[in-house]
Amino acid sequence: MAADVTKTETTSNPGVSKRYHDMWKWDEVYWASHCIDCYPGNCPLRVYVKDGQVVREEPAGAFKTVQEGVPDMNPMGCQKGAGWTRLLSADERVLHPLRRVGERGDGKWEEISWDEATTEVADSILDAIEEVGPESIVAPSGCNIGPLALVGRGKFMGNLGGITLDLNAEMNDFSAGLYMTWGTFDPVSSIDDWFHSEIFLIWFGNPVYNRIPHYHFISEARYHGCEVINIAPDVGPSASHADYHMPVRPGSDAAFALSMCKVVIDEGLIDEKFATEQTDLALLVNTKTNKYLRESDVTEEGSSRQFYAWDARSGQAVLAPRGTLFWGDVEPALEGPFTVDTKDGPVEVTTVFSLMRERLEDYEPEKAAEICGIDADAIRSLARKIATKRTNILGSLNNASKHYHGDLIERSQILLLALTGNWGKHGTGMRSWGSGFLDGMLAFFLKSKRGPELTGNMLDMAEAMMQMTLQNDPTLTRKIVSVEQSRNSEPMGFVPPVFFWYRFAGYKEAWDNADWHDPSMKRPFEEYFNEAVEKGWWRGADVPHEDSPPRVLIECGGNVLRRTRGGSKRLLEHLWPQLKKIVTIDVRMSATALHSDIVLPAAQQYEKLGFGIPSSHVMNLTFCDKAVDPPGEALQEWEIFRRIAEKVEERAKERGVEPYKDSRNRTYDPKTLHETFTSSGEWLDQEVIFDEMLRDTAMVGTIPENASLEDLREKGFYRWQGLGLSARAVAQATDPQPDETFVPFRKHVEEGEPYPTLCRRSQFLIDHDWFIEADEHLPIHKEPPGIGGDYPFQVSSGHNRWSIHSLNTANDLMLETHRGEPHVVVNDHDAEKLGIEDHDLVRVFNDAGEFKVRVKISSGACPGQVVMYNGFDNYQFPDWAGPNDAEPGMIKWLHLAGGYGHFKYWATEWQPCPVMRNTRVGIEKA
Amino acid sequence: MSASTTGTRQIAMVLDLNKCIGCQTCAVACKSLWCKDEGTDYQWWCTVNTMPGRGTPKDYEEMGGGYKDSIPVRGIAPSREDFGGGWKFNHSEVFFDGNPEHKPLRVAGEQPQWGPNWDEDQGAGEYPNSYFYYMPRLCNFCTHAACVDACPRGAMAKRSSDGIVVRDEDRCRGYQFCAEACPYKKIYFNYELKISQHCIGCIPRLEQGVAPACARQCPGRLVFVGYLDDEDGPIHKLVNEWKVALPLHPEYETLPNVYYIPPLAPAPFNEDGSVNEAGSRIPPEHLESQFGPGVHDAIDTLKTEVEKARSGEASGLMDLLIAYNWQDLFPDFTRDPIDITWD
Amino acid sequence: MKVIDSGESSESLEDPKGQAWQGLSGETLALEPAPVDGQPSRYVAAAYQSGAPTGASEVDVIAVRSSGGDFMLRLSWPDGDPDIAYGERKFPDAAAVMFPASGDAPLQEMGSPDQPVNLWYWRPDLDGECQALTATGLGSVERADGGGLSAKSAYDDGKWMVVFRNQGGDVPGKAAVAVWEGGAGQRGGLKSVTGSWQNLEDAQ
Repeated sequence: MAADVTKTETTSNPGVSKRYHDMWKWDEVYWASHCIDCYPGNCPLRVYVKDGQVVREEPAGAFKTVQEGVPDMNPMGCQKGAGWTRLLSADERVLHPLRRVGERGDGKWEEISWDEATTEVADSILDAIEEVGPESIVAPSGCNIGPLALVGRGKFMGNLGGITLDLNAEMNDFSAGLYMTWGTFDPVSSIDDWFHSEIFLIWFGNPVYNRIPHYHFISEARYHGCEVINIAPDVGPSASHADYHMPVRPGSDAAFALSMCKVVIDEGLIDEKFATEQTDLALLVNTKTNKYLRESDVTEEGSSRQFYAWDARSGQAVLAPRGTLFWGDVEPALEGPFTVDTKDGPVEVTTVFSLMRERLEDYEPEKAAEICGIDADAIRSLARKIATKRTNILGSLNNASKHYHGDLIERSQILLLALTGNWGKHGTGMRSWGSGFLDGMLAFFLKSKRGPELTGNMLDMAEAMMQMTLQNDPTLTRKIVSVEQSRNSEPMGFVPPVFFWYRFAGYKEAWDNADWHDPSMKRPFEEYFNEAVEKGWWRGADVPHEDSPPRVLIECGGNVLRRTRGGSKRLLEHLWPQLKKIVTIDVRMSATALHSDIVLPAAQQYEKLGFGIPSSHVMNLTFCDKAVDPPGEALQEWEIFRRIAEKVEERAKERGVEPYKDSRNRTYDPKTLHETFTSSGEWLDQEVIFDEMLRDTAMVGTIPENASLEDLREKGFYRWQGLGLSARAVAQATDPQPDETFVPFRKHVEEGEPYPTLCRRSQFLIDHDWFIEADEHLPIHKEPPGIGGDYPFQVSSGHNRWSIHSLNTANDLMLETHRGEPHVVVNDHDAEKLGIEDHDLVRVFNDAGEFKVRVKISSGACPGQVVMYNGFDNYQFPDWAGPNDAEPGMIKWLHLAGGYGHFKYWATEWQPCPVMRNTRVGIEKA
Repeated sequence: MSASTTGTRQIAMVLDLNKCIGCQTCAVACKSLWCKDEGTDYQWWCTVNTMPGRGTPKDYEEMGGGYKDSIPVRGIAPSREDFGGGWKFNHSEVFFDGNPEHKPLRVAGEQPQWGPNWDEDQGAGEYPNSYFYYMPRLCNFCTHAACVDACPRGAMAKRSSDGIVVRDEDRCRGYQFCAEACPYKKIYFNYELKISQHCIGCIPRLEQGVAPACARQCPGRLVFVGYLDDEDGPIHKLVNEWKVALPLHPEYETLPNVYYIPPLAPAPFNEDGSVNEAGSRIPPEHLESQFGPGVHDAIDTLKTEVEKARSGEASGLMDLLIAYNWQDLFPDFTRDPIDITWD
Repeated sequence: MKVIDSGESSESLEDPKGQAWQGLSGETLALEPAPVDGQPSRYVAAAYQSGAPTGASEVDVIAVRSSGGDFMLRLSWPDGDPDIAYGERKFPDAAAVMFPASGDAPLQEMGSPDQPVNLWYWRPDLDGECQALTATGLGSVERADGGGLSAKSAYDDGKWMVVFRNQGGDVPGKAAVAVWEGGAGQRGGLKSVTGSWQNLEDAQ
């Protein structure tokens, strides 16, 4: 630096022009959030309105410190939220009801009136009912929409008898491995609880991209002494702030996890108390059959749901308690074998732990290193750390489950946590996603009249039933009862979409292709599928049946053509021709809207009331006010469904359509649809509906007693005082505290409450016949099958940084923060071999299909892998062929299993979900 | 020396690169507030780039400006092409005008070859020791502001009350000497108004006690704002006491007042696949090329304090960087904008 | 320099290539780069010490009074590559005529606080607007009332031609000319200027 440092003179104090001062001024401010599926979102914002227009938004920054010594959650927001205003007047917006002109997908439209539009939709619905039946009316279940659309679509479809495709299979945000082990897949700690972690494993996640509002808790935890470890094949964005990056070979994560399990056990680092209490590891297994020793094996009248452990103190098999995880006077042995007298004489049994330990012999670090590509010493070193420190796996947004063997990977990860005592304590655990805490919204589906009386009655009745059930079986808990009740109900007419896809949407060819499955699938896929149906494992949920082809598709809040693994081309080829009417309700033109017959304009955020998706991530009910009217003829979704319902009722009367039944023998009357939908005019006004939901939620005690729309308008958000009565809330198994970060499963760990699984413990042994046949009764590593064909590259993905799904992918502000069009990331050496230069257009192809896309070259991409971030809409690709067109959308046959404890459909939970990671592709210059 | 010098103060920022996740929220917040009018379509006063990379504008570090031994260095005024951006898209053609051939959504007209964040996440290094980090950049409010020094018309000035470098847009005649002289190349040309423009330091906000848009909206909580001479404030402590916050390219000699906490990085692997615990994937020489020779001590200090935290010891530096209360990031600018009533 | 009483209307003279200018002869003035030493910019003074952009070396000037009594000037100078807008490291070309507002305003310094100068400034991107400016020294240019001023230009045969018209204006006593070659980076103080005031002799 120069010795003679000069300073710029500062003798004056000029300002900036008034123009800039005026730019920042506003007339009105409203609370806002983006009530979309940018789960867990829930960022409280303020929108600023000037001259009747929203001019911008900004985080409210209004959170108070929750726990002393833990950073607060402010400001929460991201670039998409900061640029949302741009979408209100964006060129992509639909402003009037539109009817297709020309062929589907031609992108030509005529404006029609709401009356014309609803008449056309209503008539097509009635035609479908008359021709086929109500289950020919299908709604995908996008949730980029907020509660007005959720309740609107739910009430409409529910009262019509149509089917709604379970969103979790559509998105594949279901973590099968978590569900198999815990009986629920959605334990979720609050984001500020991350601060308590000492080891933070970013494993199947990319929080730098998709946890923008929350990432600071990771960097702050790091400054607080936490080691951040990113386990991923690619040196991606979330490696940038990690202390270690572990370049695991694609799809080999289970081997890595199991190897660490072996180190923990071999080095005596296992938390035995935790493992024996929380898991089935101490339960006894028949060594010949690999099945649990059941009471029914021992005595004639014994229960098939009663299991055993070996009491080291008394030296005999004892019944494992079902009502508690605690063993009392029993000292359960962790290692077998033992001999037990059964009905059929003495049999050799051992513990699940011993079986598992035997299996772990294949994962000696040196051996595992060859499978997973991680240095043996690095495996040992990390295992030791995990065993001694509070460890959190951020399985951010379910990426493991998007692998064919994601269940095995997740089960292996949980085993590692189980052996090291890493859940139910601050700073520990493994995350998926959870929601559904807004009891007022659930109550709304059942309520026909305003006021606390009906809600009070419902609550009293529910509580009475709960008490009765608990008294009948003292081993039950509220969690188990709630979960079981959910497993026996069909909220909002959800069905697992596998049956629809297999029967009507062209998936059969792909799923029946044995080459794209794991070699341990012994029989043809179709046999498993039929067996599952024939055995009644999916009874009531296996609709539509073969005799109910789809006729009307109503897309509201989603974009089925973009997001369905299996591809837009498959749906367009197989499903579309069967559909007589395709209706999309959206704020914008999506790939699905572009291929629709009717597009109905919906209100954006800030133009209607909304709540963020309630989740224990953020622990708040977050409010979005209506700051301005929707433009053009756009309407909020409740009103859109109401108008369609009104028209269905009117046309049904005119046409004389009689009451009809669905395949489950429930009766519907289209002539009273509007009457039912609005509860005889009770539910017309969004303000009334929201106010009612809030007051009802307050009655459950999860938000302040005096909660109302007026009060929330003042405060902007409520911190949850409790999580409420819904199964997913109770399943968190922790009561939130006002001055503490939230971590689920405390009741299991601290109070010994059993889990809602077959064996009432975290269950690593799945002794379902299919699983034993596949050698997946215990966690194991299996290579990903060659989905897509014999091609040299494997696709990886994950949410992108620049959009929330495809919702704001066309926002020109966001487009300018990348290259303005989709890209795949390819390793520099791979690119060189392929003769590909940066920004070249390439063809990505396999036996399932192809798409074209630009290339971004980075040495961070794992050789042999292409990273195609998810969220771009198909219309951003040449010929509108998106990445899903090269994804066959395979499901794992084992996920059709049922008739086994907790293996039972429950909306958003147990069901097969299509996968796409590790799909094999070739690349060449286009 | 003029009489008012004694009353001069300098606002400074510290950007903690270990917290920056390249999310662009600062950039969008800034643009949504200030760059919506004519001629600002391509302007992003605050940008975030992946480093190592070519930066914004493209190859800005090779464009000259600043000083060498206190003598101004000739520079290049970046053009619209150098910055990229300002794209207009064919939404209507794709969505509404009839598109049976399924033309994709693209920038209308000529296809861009560069943009404000074109080389995002490409980085450097050899797999698996690849690396990159994110760097937000805005006006540096330089103590020795080359732009002010360059303007022959006196249209630019450094304010005595806070050291923000302001432009009198009515006096500016678009000569772009400021843009040539600014070594950080954070001055844009408004082709409609034919004047240069740059970050205004959110003066309208600062004057109301509200933190700048980029800082207040930063979800990563990495932007500290305060007066450099406030010994109780975070800036002074990080810059002058802990010496972990460093100016970008000190060799440009403009004495910038935006400081950076340099990035740590994952441990690299040795040839045999084992972990090199003591190493860093970011070559020290790269860090030095960005933050000057002081960066090595800064990194050492950071590592020492992180180690302390891991072993359960208290660390004043770590507590400072954690910023338990969000508003500790900008203690003098904590006002909630909604508390303002406009006349 | 003589101000020719042309007898042609202002309107016909406004066309730089028009018949009205045929046969009129003015003077060719030598242009030289303005010195960078005295520029009120430390940056310009230092950075352009060597390698200051160069532009036209001479300019043809014809001064006339139209039949309507307007004082008009036509400047023309060779430019192989006209620059009409701001571009990549390029500026639009420009030309200006400077007059002392009173007395002996210094030329190199563009006037002084006591002795301001007036300027007529043309640039091809100003859509025919002629900016009226005053200055009291380098870097002090301010917009002034330009009522009655206009400028029309044409580019033809490798030459810029610009006609300034001052409706009803008196003929100033003397003038100086500056031309900017925008493509080379000339703008502001980086310009090609006449080295001395040119006296204007009004024929009337």
